[in-house]
Amino acid sequence: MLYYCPGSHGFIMNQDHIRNFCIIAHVDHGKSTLADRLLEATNTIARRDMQAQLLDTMDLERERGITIKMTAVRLNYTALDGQEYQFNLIDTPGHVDFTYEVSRSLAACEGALLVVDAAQGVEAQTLANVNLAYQNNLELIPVINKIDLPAAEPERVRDEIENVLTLDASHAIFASAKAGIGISEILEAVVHYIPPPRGSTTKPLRALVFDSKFDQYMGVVCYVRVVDGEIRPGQKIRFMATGKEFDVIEVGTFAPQRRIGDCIATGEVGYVAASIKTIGDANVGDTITSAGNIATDALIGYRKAKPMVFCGLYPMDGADYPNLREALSKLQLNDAAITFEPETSAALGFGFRCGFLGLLHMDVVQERLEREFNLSLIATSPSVVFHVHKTDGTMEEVDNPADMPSPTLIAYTEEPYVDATVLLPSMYYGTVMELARDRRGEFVKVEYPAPERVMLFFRIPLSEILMDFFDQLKSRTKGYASFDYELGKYQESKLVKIDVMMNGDPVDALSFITHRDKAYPRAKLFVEKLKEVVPRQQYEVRIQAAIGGKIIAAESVKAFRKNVIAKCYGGDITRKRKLLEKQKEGKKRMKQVGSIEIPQEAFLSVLKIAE
Amino acid sequence: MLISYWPPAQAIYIHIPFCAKHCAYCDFNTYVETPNSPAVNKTVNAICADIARSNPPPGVPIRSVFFGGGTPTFLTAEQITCILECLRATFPIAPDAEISSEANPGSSDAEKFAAMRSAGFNRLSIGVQAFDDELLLNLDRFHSAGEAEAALNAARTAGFDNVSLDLMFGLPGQSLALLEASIDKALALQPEHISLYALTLEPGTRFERMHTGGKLKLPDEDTELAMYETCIERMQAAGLQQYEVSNFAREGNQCRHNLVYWNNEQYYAFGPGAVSCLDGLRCRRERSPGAYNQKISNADSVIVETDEPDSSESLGETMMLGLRLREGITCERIMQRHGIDPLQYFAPQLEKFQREGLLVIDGSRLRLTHQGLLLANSVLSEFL
Repeated sequence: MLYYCPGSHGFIMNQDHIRNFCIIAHVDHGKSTLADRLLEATNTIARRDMQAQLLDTMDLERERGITIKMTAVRLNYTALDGQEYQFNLIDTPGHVDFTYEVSRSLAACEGALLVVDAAQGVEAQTLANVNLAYQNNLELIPVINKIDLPAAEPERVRDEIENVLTLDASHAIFASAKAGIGISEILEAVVHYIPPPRGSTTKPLRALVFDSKFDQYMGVVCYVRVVDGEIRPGQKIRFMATGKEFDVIEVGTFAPQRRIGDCIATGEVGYVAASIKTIGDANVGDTITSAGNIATDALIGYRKAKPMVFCGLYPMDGADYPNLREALSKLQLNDAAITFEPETSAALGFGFRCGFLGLLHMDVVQERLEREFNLSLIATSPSVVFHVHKTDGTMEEVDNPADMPSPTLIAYTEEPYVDATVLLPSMYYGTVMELARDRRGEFVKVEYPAPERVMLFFRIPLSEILMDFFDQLKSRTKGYASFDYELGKYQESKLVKIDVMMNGDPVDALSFITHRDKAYPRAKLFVEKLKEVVPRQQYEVRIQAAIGGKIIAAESVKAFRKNVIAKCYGGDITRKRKLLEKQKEGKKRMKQVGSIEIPQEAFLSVLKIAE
Repeated sequence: MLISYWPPAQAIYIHIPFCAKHCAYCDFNTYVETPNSPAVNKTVNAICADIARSNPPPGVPIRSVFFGGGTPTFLTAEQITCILECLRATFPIAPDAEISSEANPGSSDAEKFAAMRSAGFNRLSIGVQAFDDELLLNLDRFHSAGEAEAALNAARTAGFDNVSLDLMFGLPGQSLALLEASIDKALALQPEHISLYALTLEPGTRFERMHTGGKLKLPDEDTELAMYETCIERMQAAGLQQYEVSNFAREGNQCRHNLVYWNNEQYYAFGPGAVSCLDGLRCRRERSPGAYNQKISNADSVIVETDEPDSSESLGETMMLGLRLREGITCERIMQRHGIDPLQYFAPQLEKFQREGLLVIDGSRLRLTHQGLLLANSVLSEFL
């Protein structure tokens, strides 16, 4: 049944025929490919127009095979019962750095396709996402994907879903998105298992902002799920968390191209443009209501994104400082989770202290700055936010080792811990326990959810996870372990700051804070790493690590003694000039600190010093 | 204001792109051929035609001619002298011009040298590389140490009183002692000039491939440095002054032709793959003799690559080349060529390198110190 949307020029869908859902999956289990198949099968897009994995719009996402910013796509589906359905497929980011974004996009849905690889089985991330889905009361449809792979064991994986995720998997669909198997079953299951949205058409407007991005022409575009009421162009809306009000300029949907519409009605998903200039005014998780008819309660769940990992970003060429500021401001328009403020380093000059949701987020931002804004950057060692309680009873949040108060002023220190879950084949239990212990993890419990599978729970400092933890875990388990974590509480921890000196001069950007018991081995490994990455130069470079002036580790890089082109005659003057110019360019990619040239990778090698 | 002023060309380079065999370290434009073959004859004729096509400005004498390769002495005496005659027909060659040719011990004999001497050649540069048969074998050289000595004697007999020997160090399997033996042998022969090159692994050479595959055992950096310094000392002691990174001569026997390059002056060039520098342009000619010959006979241009350094690149080249000379380069000369005072223009670099003891300013002369010469790439690149 269709009914008329007041003030609009068309009919909209009966609320009972709307299905809002997302796909949750571990990285590489085939989420994007499945989304593409659904678009094709519903003729939302023709196969010939299909760019592989259409929903991931940024180049970077496509290259890294991860989804960073989600999008919502509308699909029109004629079910076997002959009825027309409106599907809104909401894409979710697939990385722990973006847990909060995932939870908001799940909150915009009534159900989810839970995609599990038929060979790999359930992973820790699947578990974390399923927990989020439970918290949002989503109906889950298990899809066991890649059943055409030789190593596929769909029945085993179905048992695993039942045992590990304690989910009824009797209606699990065996599929291969790549081969187009099971697609029509999935579409029918969406109709039958996922409930239609329940909201009131008569109550004041409440719409959940589950994503927003900055568009050069439209300003901030909010992706919304209308829970109650409706949104129309011309309407004055208010963001309940910020109290900011705007006039709606345009509403519509993506299919996946932008389609301007007349209204987003109760239960529907779409976008809203309202000449919003900064993304900070339209935060993910906020509730939009009507300025003229304000809802009593906001939808639950809003929380401001809080950066967890900090590092200094410095332009390689000091003259690029204003450009870096401009680039960061532009990125922030699109990514409210980035924070930055000016900082100065004795070694690196003027730069910015930037905050990120996690290491991946940091990597992505840095890469975007370099690629999209053509900047050459130095990133200093990433740091978490430490709590330093001073003897005078005050507490300082320290996200930069350079700001660590003098030891005499410190009463005690705390660092953030996370609650970690590792799912792994039982044969690797010992080695993973050992890794967790080495990284100061505190064992919580162990479960045996399936034959040959162990689920390990422990608390571990976030700073330890930054240090190459994923890679270590992967190499110790031959890639079979999966890992996820949730932020936990701060705990007391005996922390020390380690300073690094080159030829006697402190290089502040290389300082790091670590646990006292790890200080010696890590300082030693760090100077060894630095010795590897600092190239030989005109003079010997002495590298030392110290705690409060006491040297605890030292290495030196020998000077090169001869570099001269033997022959230079008429035929090769141009070539030799270019050769020397290239050498000079290479030097430009290094940061001159005093008389020493330090390459970019030196600043990140602190991440590689935990065994 | 930064300019680049080029004095007219007074030097000519002739490239003979043939060798009897290819050496493992060499990346020059050279092809293995049979002496006096039709292909070689055609190329000689094409070089002559190439020369005849030039239209030099009147009244500018040519002060140096240099036959390089490849192996110029791969040609017969008639072929070489024919090219020189062609040059004389087109260019006003000064009576006291330096006329040099490279020569390979394996393809040289007294008769050929005598013919060359009487045609007007007055300088020979003999590619000895090392006085050690085993090392020579490693380099794929096809002559023996004895032949090298014989070549020098033949040059003397033919009347050459300005002879240079090419030597190499840092060779696979070469020890400091072996190098010293080679140097002593070379000095005992009392050449007027020695060019001493560190082995450089050039892309595309057999040595480079071997090195990548870990099959080339080269002396370490410290040994190589000791070799270079030992050679410099021995040569100075024997009266051969170092005047450029790799070149040593008795007073008055510096290679006039090569000084043209290091002074960043202009030069004509003929032959496959040869690079000329005229009107501020560096032009490379067609490398392959076949294509070169074809284009010449079609009266087409043989230029395949052109580089036009802008004023700033040109200044960089003047610095890069001039500072290779032990006497360095004067501020007047830089002012005259580029219209700027280097003391101001390069003030930060000059300050830094003086402080580091790599460069001295001696009156109006900028000169690398011995230490600066060893680290020349680091210094020179800062002037680009």
